[in-house]
Amino acid sequence: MGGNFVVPVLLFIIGLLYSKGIKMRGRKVRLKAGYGMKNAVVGFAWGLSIALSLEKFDSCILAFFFAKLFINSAFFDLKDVEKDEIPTLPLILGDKFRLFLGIAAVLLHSLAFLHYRNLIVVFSFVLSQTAILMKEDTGRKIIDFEPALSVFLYLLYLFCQNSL
Amino acid sequence: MKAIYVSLPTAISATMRLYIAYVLTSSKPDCFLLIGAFFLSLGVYGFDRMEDYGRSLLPALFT
Repeated sequence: MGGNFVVPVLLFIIGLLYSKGIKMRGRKVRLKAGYGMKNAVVGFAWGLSIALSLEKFDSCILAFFFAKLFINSAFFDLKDVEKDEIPTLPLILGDKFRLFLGIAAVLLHSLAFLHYRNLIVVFSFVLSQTAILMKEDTGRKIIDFEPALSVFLYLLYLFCQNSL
Repeated sequence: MKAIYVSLPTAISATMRLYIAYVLTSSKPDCFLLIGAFFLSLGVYGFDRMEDYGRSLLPALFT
């Protein structure tokens, strides 16, 4: 898609809007705020750059990666819960935070599987749920490598299927 | 160098996310774009992490 050059420019603008903000008609517009705004910005930046990188723009891919990266970045907020100056989701939801992430992941992956009917969604779901249920450090490591592990398991599945 | 090393998982994840998008949409993976995504995210996150290591851009690149 011709949007390949657009991606770095869009990421730069989103980054600028998030960290520094811009002045428009005397008002400063800045995306850095609490209540999941950071997670939404991260999700949107990733979702948009992936959707634009495809040969044909796919809004479902944008929605899927937006939600997925929203959940992942919210999970990463757990470690900073005591240091955060802005109200992040773990701070607001408290003990219900992991339950919220778990339910969100179930809904997201179910919808994605119904739409794409691809096993890679199932691998991704299993790894995400394992990360949410695990201790924080282990969970972070699993989340870090979740896309790579999902692809590895998917390719392994294809290999096994072809060799049978 | 440490900044680049700790950014490797993020760069690999970024590349694999793009690959997952190719798989889900049943489109042919663009190797050039995948390599580009890897180095772009390695560069961006590496630079971001360098701030944590005292903004040492030159030593990080040349040591």
